[in-house]
Amino acid sequence: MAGSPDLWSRWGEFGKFNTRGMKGGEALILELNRIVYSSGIASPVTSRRGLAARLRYLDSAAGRAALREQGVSARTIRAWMRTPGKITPTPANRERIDSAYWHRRRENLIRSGWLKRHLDNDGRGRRMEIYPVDQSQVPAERARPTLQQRSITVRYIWSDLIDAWATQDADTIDEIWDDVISDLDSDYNAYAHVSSIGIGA
Amino acid sequence: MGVEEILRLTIAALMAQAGERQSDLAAGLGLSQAQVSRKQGGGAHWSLEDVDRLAAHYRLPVLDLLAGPTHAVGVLHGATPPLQPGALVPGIPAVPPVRLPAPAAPAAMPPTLGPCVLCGQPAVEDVDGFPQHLSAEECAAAVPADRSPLAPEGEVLPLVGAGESLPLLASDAALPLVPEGETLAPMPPAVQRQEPPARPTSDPEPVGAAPVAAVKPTVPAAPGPAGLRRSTPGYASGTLVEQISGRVHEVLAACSGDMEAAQAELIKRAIPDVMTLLKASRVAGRYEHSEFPPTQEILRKKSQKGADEIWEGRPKWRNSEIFAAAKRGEETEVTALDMNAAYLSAMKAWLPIGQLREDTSGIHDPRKAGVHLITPAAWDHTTLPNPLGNRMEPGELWVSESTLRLLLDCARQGLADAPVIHRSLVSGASEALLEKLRRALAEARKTALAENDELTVAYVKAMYSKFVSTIGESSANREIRRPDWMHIIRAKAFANLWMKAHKAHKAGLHVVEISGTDELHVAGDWRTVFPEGRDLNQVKEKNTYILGGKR
Repeated sequence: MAGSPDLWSRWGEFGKFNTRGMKGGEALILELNRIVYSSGIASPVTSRRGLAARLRYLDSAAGRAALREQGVSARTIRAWMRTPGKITPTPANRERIDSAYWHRRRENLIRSGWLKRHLDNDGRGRRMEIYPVDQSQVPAERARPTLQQRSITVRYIWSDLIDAWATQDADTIDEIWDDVISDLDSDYNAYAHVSSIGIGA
Repeated sequence: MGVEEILRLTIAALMAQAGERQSDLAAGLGLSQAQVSRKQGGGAHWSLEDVDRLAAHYRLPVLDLLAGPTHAVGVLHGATPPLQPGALVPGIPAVPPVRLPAPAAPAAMPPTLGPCVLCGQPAVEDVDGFPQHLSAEECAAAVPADRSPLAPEGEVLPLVGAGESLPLLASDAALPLVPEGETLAPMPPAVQRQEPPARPTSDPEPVGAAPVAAVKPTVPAAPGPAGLRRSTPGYASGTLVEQISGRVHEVLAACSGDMEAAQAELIKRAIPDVMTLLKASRVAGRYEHSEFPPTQEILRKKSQKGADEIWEGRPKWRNSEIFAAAKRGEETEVTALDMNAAYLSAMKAWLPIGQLREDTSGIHDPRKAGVHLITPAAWDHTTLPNPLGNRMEPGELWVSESTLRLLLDCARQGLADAPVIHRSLVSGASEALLEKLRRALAEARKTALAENDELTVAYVKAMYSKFVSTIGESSANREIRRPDWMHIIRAKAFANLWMKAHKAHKAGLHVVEISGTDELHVAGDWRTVFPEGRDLNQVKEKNTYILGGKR
């Protein structure tokens, strides 16, 4: 696990006493996924409107390449693109269209910088709420006494975080998490593991 | 009750009488509105120097200021003689412009010794050390001639909304309430009731010498139409209300007076504006609420435009008996009533503060709130709608806190059995999380209605309705993500509507239909039950129709 040695030193074997939670870095990844997936086309792929919107989005060289990557044959793609309003793909193919759509959308969001701008928020950054690990199953003498919900404003890390998230570099994300919580207080590494994180974006 | 408490009540009463806001008073005293707010709220003390300044501001002698709200308000009107005749703060003219006929020249009276123990009017003689008139005739004659009838003056503040649930100040009745007068002002022993002078109350305050020239009652600052005055100052945060009105003026100026464009712009900015107001309103709050708690499974939407599985209890019910009778040919005259600003009133609900946690005890903890999995009891009233709304499927369902509390209330009143709680996802709760925001919005709306300012009314409406609909998981509002609050507030609006139907039913009206968020159809004289108007606790009549009868 990356991050400064200080970060993980206060945790021995995580979960030894039934603490429940995840690494801070993992929680960051989950939140970024949520932010990305809450944008985009609102109608589901199963509706005519959602299907047509996705196909229109994928109507480009890169879109077609994404569809081929998902496993749709070139002939099918050609048939779809000729009459996008009238096709009825199989459920399996619908899923592939959806995955290809999200694949393309993620790439476009990162490439265009929308995600970075959205999170950077003109330099103001975004609020982040840190929910500490769930200690309800831990015996009282082993529980950390001073864990509480924290709320901080996070700036400056967003570009690095998105680069790391795009390349799926878990180590860098751990280091970034270290950065985020090291300003909390002297016991900051108690928040190396969290139960969840909320980002206001 | 300590002197400072009495002084605070007095100041509140005088402000209400004068139609002042805290900022007006602050300007008059040379303080800031925040300082006045702190002093009134108990965070700071009123110093003796402040008392001097207050006396100068209201043109009252200092002793009257400290003698209780009823007395002070009385002296302000000239109804009650002050305790310190002629002891006005130096520098203030003793006879300010007068609206009443000048009182009988006090100088003509011989020096008085104090209030007569029998009737309270200034007495010249004394008996055994107690100032007293020597005969009943003298008591009667001692009533000052300048006591012009104040009741028809309209000094009674016609507070909008008969059901105004504000702390009842002495000023609400303008002139001294009998019990207040009894407890606050020192009563001479064995007061005999002489024939009460021609004054609105029958309880003359034991006061000192002849009244000084009547003080001109300060004109209320707001040029509202007669009959609609500002409510008690201190009800809503002045800062927030000024933020709202400031924003309206700003946008209006930017659009150079074009109302349509200004309205469009304001509605466009409604969500960021209301979130700014929310943050400002929680600055001094006791609890820091979570804004992005992890969303429990049950609160997760199935698709981006879909819904989750919480039952909000939207009312949709018709009185089958009345409709059957109508089919048979009986005529009923039905009025459709419309509640005002239902979602605004619903913002006063028990809202969970932190993230929701599981609780399987099956007991409802009144200090917590959240969502619950319940099995509701059967409802067998045909004249009252089911508080759960029109749910077709039997069995368990997830409801929000507001619906559960309504069902428990019904059980307490004996209308049905209590529901069985299987699981709860709750957190410690407070009813006041959104209260400051709600009051500011309500105050802004009320003032705007009084001044016929439809732009502000539309702006406030956009703010609270968009707030309630986007605090869930919505891409339009990314500053807060609390679907549980959204469900609780909406369910509270429906519960409020049900409670109004219940109130109508108890009063003897027939509840014909209940639908939408705020529509209630009743048959009967609803004006005796609900006040009419556009204020929050009033109803509007939408239309009246005849049900049944010949085609």
